[in-house]
Amino acid sequence: MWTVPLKNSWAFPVIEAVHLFGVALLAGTILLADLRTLGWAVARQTGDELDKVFKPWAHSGLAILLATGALMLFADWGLYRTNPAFGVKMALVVPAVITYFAPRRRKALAILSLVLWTGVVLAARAIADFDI
Amino acid sequence: MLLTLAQWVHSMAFSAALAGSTWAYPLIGGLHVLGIAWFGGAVLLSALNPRDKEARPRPAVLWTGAAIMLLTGALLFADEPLLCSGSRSFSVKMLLLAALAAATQVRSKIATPLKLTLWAAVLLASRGIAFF
Repeated sequence: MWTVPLKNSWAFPVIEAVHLFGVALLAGTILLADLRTLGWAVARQTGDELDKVFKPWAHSGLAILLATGALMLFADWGLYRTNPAFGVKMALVVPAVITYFAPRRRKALAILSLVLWTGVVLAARAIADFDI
Repeated sequence: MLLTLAQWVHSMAFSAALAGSTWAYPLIGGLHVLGIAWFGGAVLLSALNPRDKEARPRPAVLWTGAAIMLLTGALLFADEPLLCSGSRSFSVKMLLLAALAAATQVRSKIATPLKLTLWAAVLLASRGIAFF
């Protein structure tokens, strides 16, 4: 296993950048599909159609996020354990992912999804500011 | 040139107010990441529909994402002008963004892979600002 913590290694910003790429894929596609559901004419497609088009990309993004997230977590668990922003992020990310996999696309669900994912991104960014 | 700009921004009361606030940096940083997700999602939707013009996102959607990134990016610079001007990663990022602006004018088969590579490099350089 990891004997050297990632935090102070060159690998950390690289993994963070890959994690960010995953954010753009997952959060970006969810954001657009939710805005479409709320009636903002993002493009011609409906929210359901956007979901279908985005599905492989969103799932790739989720896989990238889980893999890079787990890598950072296992390497520096002690640092995240006591970080309040990390706690908030985890508390938000679970319902956010559940909302994403919820079967029906309704306006209330789209609003909930937007709020949760916005919270996840804000809390995630704040982890670095509660350093560590 | 960059240092002169940074020192000028640093001398403004606005910059001091941002730097003095506990929540400004994490909040603006989080919004910057949301802008990346928004823009990334819109770019992806464009790339997925190269022939079907109507299925692409409306230009306003792309521009909104870009505007969020630029505005929050400028605010982040105003919050930490000296950190940015002293960071090699920041200079590299600005050069890459200039290259990206030029790459949007390239009309050839390699245009899309070129732009994607540049975006990946921009993300990497962005994360590097906090480290190098």
